[in-house]
Amino acid sequence: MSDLGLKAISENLWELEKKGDMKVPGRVYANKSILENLDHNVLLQLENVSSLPKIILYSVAMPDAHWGYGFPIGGVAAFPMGDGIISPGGIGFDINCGIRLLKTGIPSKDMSVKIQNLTDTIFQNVPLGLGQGAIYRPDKSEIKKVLLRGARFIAESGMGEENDVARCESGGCFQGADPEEISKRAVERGSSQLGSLGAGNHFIEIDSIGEIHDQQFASSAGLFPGEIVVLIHSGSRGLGHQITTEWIQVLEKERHKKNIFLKDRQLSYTEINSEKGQRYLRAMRAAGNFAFANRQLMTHRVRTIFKKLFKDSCNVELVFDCSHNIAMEEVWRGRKVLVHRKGATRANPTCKINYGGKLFPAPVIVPGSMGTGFTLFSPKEKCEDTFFSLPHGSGRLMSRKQAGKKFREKEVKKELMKKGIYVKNNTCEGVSEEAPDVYKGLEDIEETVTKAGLASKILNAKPMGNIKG
Amino acid sequence: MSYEFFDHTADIGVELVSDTFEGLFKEFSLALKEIFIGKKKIQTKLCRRIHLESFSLENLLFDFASELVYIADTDHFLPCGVKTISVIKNGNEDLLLQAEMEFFKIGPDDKLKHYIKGPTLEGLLLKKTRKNYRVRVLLDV
Repeated sequence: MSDLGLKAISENLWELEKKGDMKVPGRVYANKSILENLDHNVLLQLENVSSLPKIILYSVAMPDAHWGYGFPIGGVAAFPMGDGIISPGGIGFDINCGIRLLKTGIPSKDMSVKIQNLTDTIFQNVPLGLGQGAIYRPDKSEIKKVLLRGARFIAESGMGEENDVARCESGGCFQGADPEEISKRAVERGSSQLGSLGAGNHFIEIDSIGEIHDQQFASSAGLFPGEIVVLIHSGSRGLGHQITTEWIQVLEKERHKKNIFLKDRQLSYTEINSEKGQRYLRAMRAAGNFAFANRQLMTHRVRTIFKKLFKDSCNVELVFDCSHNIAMEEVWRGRKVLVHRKGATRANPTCKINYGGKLFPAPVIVPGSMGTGFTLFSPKEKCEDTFFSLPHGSGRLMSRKQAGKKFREKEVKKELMKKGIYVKNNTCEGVSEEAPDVYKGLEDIEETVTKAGLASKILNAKPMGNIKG
Repeated sequence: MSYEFFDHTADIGVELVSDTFEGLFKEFSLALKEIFIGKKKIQTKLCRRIHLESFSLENLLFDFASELVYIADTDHFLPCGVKTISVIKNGNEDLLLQAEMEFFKIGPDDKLKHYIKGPTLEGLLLKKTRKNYRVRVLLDV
């Protein structure tokens, strides 16, 4: 038993035993260090998720789990497609928030442009937050195409290259989206933000590949040590936030009318097969497609910048795009289920992506803090135990308030600069509240998922430049 | 009347205290302003009326914040106060809010402290003490 009352299943897996209203136990993936620092609020939220009707087997907290709203961030739960439920609280405001990795073909030792210049140029040319505009202003018919076809529409409009769509999860387009389910207000918020980063923990990061652990994957994907790569982390912006807000309002009214008691009203839900459940799913998928299109547009802008600065010495290619705030219909142990992932990444080794003519399991990108870079993982069959999920980051340790008191923007930037990491930020708090020590160590995430047999490492990369929204 | 921020790992929580329902909304608008841009003083203010209706005070607070976030996103008007406000029960026992809100326009070069995605219902529960009302609201940033 751990100090938090969790039962050890194995060295890196713990169980929150069933009690009270819980329909199933909770499961927590954590090494010793993560467990020692685990916020008890994560367990309360895990308990609440385990109390939802029709939940299958257990609710899961990934190693990066931290206190969120509704589900913990880093939370996973599955429900049967037949008579299960769907909850916007298990997806989050930023529908299809996700991350993509671009390779450039440029060796860092041969960089003809200083990292400061490159970072500043991206900062100046990618719209970041409120009132800063967007890369693309769709008209009424175009926004429908974005909502229906996601990254595919953008790529087919001349803002993408050959592999861009094939190397996105779900091909950059969730099937079953319906633009008619998107309110006028959501369209209004989204239309002025298509192709913009957003704030909070959203970022664009320029990294250099360090150690390669899976040479076969790296060679096939054309990745090499010292190569400059770029991460883009963003989501569905105001359009997704508006849809979530509206559906929380709808489901809350329904809960009130039916007099249903919920420990956490952020977990308001409806049956998947109800009229409202189906409508929410269609709206969620459309918002997901908006997010794919958003990341595709930023890719196009970053690609244009690299071409301008590095001419023919670069070839910016998409390696992969992973979603980490979404509910997806999947087959798990022969059953059709709806997997909610809030701050967790789909990790199914049977979903293959073509790299250099060879098929590999779709990789999973797990970024650490702005001081640590990222790890690329390859999921293993054992991921079946997590409903085919892996972490989405290293997870916060410290509250925003504590971080704001402890760290100063200038000092954090100075310390990072000493390590060769140049930071440009849009919001003042984007640096202090996202300082490296605010996050768990990426090495703890790596240790937990590899020792639990969920994934193996493909490569690590170290940051050089970071743009915070 | 007051507001105070409380610790939350991923997002921003604010506790509102007032002896009236209306006061809770006034404090909420000031807290939202501080989250968006800090404590700096605003010179030029614009006014806009808002009308909202909900079945509970908590849900009305949720709707109030949602409305202000929507206005921020679409018109780039950030809230900075309340000129007039009333919260009354209508015929269906729902609560009706009518307010004349003060805003200021944010420009592309103005640096925000935080961008608010929306309010949440996490732990949103109104408490009535002998002296006043207290409510905690968590905002996704």
